[in-house]
Amino acid sequence: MSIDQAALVSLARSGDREAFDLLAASHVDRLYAVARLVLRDSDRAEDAVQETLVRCWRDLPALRDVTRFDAWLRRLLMRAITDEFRRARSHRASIAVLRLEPSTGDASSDLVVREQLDIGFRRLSVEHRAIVVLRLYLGLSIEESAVTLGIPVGTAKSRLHYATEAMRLALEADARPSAREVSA
Amino acid sequence: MNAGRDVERLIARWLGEEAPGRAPDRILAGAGMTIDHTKQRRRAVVWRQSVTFTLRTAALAAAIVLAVAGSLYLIGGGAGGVGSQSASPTASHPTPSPSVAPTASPEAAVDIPVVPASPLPDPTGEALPSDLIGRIYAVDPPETLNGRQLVLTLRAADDAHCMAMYGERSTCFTVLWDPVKSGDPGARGSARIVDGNLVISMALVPFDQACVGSLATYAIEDAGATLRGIDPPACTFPGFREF
Repeated sequence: MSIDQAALVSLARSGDREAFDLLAASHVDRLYAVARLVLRDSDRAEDAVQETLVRCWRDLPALRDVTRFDAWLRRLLMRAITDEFRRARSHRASIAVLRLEPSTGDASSDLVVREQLDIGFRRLSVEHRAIVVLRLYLGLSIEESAVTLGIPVGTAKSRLHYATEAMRLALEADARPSAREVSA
Repeated sequence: MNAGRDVERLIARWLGEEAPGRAPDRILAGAGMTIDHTKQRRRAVVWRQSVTFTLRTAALAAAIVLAVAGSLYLIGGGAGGVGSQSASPTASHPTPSPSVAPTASPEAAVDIPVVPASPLPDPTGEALPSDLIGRIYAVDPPETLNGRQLVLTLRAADDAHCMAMYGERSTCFTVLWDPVKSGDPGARGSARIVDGNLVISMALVPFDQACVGSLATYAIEDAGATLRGIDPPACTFPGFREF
């Protein structure tokens, strides 16, 4: 964390709205990217980030150590993402049936892999998606990821293992030809 | 192992490609409009300052007690060992002074029920179901201080804490620092079910009198593993997650 950011956090914590706006502007792109990746939905990602920023403003006086701001903000974001995911659960289930089946044959292999990854990722719970994004997109250590999610390190490790294994299996399964393709 | 690493690299590259570069401007605009009408939670600071103050006080008390105990030990040992011979042949080990023993350790775990100064009214709603009784939650987002964590415990009506407050008339809760130490602040009150949600009443909050009487409602999710705050008052807690 830079000295500038620490100063901004201190000012915002004491109610300086201008400082908070600067702080929010410097984080919003990263917050949105994480929310969009986990939720796989632009509108819900926007809602989650807005909620995160509002909670950030509201609860900032409770942050004792301004150098912990980044980690604290990540925790707020993950909480908002989880809330948004659960709110949207029923709607998500209804649109899940509309997803495209993985393309075969005529598309480039790279496109197929991306599609398979997308399908595999969407099958994960929000908790598993979160650990994947924190670890493999933000590049946080497993310990930092565990703190962000408020879970023990062992749980974070097992979630990451489960998630990557599930995505690997999804890649393998979707790469296999179906019975109909074999018999054709 | 290599296959796992390959998949991780593949996922990392895919996430990097999928991530949007820039957030829509309307996010900041929308958040700003809400924030215009949102006050910062100042009372939470008072609570935490009180906690810090109390812990400092406890640490200071511990230091004083240890110093006194040490002095008494040295004085006792000196008198017995140098000034005069002990009359008893079994007195080779100094026995602790009776005046020191009862106050010797503020570090010892103390989980003392608090009896209210005046009787608490009967809370509304239903008693907690048995599957929630005895469950322990961390405050969410987690609150930690010097390696200790703020913890909610849901208690049965015949638990000592509930008995002290309600005389077995209600299930109740405590929010205490874990591990518990004497002199810690805490929040206590009834814990009931209203319209399928958990409602806790902040009946005893010695360090935040303004919070006393507040009711906080939590949706019970994930088979009770998550208690999500439904617009809880500012002085209470946003939510809880089971350990």
